[in-house]
Amino acid sequence: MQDEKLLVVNNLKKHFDVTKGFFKKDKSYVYAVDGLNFDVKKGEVLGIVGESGCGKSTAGNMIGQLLEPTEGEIIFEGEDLLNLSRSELRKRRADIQMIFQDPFSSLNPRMRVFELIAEPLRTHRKLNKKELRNRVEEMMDLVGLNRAYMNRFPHEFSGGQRQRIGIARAIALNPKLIICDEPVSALDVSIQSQILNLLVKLQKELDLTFIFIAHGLPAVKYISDRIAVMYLGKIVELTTKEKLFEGALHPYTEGLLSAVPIPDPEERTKERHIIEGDIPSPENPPNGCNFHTRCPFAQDICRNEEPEFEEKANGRFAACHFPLNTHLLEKNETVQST
Amino acid sequence: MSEKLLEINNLKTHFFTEAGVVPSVDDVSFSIKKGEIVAVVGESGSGKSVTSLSIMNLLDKAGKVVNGEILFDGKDLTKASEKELRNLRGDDIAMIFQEPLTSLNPVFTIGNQMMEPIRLHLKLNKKDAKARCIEMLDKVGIPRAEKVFDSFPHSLSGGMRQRVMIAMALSCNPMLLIADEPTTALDVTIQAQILNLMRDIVEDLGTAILLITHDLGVVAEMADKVVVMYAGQVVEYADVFTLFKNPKHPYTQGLIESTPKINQLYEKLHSIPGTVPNPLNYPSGCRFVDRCPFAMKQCITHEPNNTYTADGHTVKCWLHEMDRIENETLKEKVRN
Repeated sequence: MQDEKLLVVNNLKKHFDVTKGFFKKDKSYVYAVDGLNFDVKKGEVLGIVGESGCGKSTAGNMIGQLLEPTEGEIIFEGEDLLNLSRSELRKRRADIQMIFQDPFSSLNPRMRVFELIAEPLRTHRKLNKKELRNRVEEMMDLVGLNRAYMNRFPHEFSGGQRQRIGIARAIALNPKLIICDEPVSALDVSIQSQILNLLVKLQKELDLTFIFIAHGLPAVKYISDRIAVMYLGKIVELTTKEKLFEGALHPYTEGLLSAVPIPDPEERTKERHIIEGDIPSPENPPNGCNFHTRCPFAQDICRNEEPEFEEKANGRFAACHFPLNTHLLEKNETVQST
Repeated sequence: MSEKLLEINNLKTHFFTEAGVVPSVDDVSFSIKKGEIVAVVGESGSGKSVTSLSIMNLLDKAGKVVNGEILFDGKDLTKASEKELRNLRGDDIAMIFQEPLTSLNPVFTIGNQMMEPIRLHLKLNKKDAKARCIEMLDKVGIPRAEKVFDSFPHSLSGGMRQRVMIAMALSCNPMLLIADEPTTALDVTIQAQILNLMRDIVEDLGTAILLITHDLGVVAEMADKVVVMYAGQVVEYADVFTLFKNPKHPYTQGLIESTPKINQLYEKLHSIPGTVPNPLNYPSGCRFVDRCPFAMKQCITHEPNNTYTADGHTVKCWLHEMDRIENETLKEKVRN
């Protein structure tokens, strides 16, 4: 496996100003993303999961250069995107593309399929008419859209087919990184698996790198190599999917995993660790560990001191004072030493 | 065996639109016993929500029940007057919806909205009604119920709002709770809390639940019986263990296989090719024929009947009808 790092994110933060009051006396911020550190290797799929409001989409939008970070670095192929001039950044945008959740609102209803797919090519590549048409046709074949539909409008398509148009737009420029923000959440179950299979196929065939953002854990597990779990603007755990599902280190991850309903009634009797309570407001996050208000194992230190996001064992990162499943850590370490 | 609380027979609900007649619900039959959880599962456009709206007669102007009967406690709701229905709604039959924010009125306090059905149906005075509200809010696990009673819907989180909806729905001790995608808008950890709560309610109060959902995970977790709908029709009906262990209809099989399980790793996900047919122009034979891996000649031309199999299944598919016909001719031969 190549370990070349395509993207490195350092201490990425986004604080939205929600200051109220006539003279803006009461300064207040929503800490949507509060210090992310991770990297994405070339050719891998990094899944980001978390519940609504955890900041996963905000993080995706910042990496996709749709939102300006409050603080931090986004290093893409050794270059900090935040220090680039406008024209340099414009060139870079062709390398980072996005696929959005809602194929109904992310496609311009007045543009035909040909125009939709040709638009990024027109902006970034200088192709003549014939080349452009060939490239669009090639993209339509790749994503499984019938070429005969080239002159149709988005409203004539079902949700799954619209998402295929969105994917064709995203891959048309041969980007190095694609950020998929909930690409299957708005689709029916039988269509979801079609689109997921398509994404996996394209990722392998075109050697793409994905950041796959979703709240649906089974989908993330299927597509990702490594998974980052976010809670209240921070990553609480990051590891390979095999290790994550072998046993979680962070209590939030464990609660999240066991909350997912299993489509098999025989598994119903299994004991679940249901996380009590609600997610605290990101405007006023708790002191110490973010999760201590809902954590069944919280101690005094959790309420006062924020745990460091660190490597607990070979390739397993977590931010927790008292990680679970420590037997898995020891096992890994002995493997390492022998 | 306990008696049937709700029985739907040959229900047809059509929408009369400018583009033509849309047969949203086409010949649907199933029943719910007291204290039972029946799940109706299907994708968007399968008619699952329209079925539930037909029971309460909450269809908009274009929609009409054109055939069939809905027997609730022996009474046919399709023939009931608006006044009779109004007495039932919120009293014997209650309903919760997907998005709790749009089902609560933003300009009235939670208490104000909760008291309305209680005062109307249970005929309590203000003081007793308030006590009942707070008792219900406590029961659904809302902390500081007295404070929530006086607060407005916008100040509560999604999970809390859905708890309020459930408290409100249960406040008059309904016999049947219709839950239309009750957890779809919620996060998984909150979904797990709400599903737990609904299960406790069935155990404590004996309320029957008609659970409408697209999520097979939720079905497997909650239901006693499952109705699988596709393109306005019931394609399969069985108890939950039988259905997941031995699905008979190719659509059900495809649906179960294409739902990834969190405790398994997959090389490739199973998927059902194609899309749902246009409701204005359903195929004349089986409606699943274009997407079915086992489609035969008669599937294109003739609509299959419901076949009842030995393990309590009902399947609407030619594959199984053929089996049955073969079995019967075999039996006859043996007899002769």
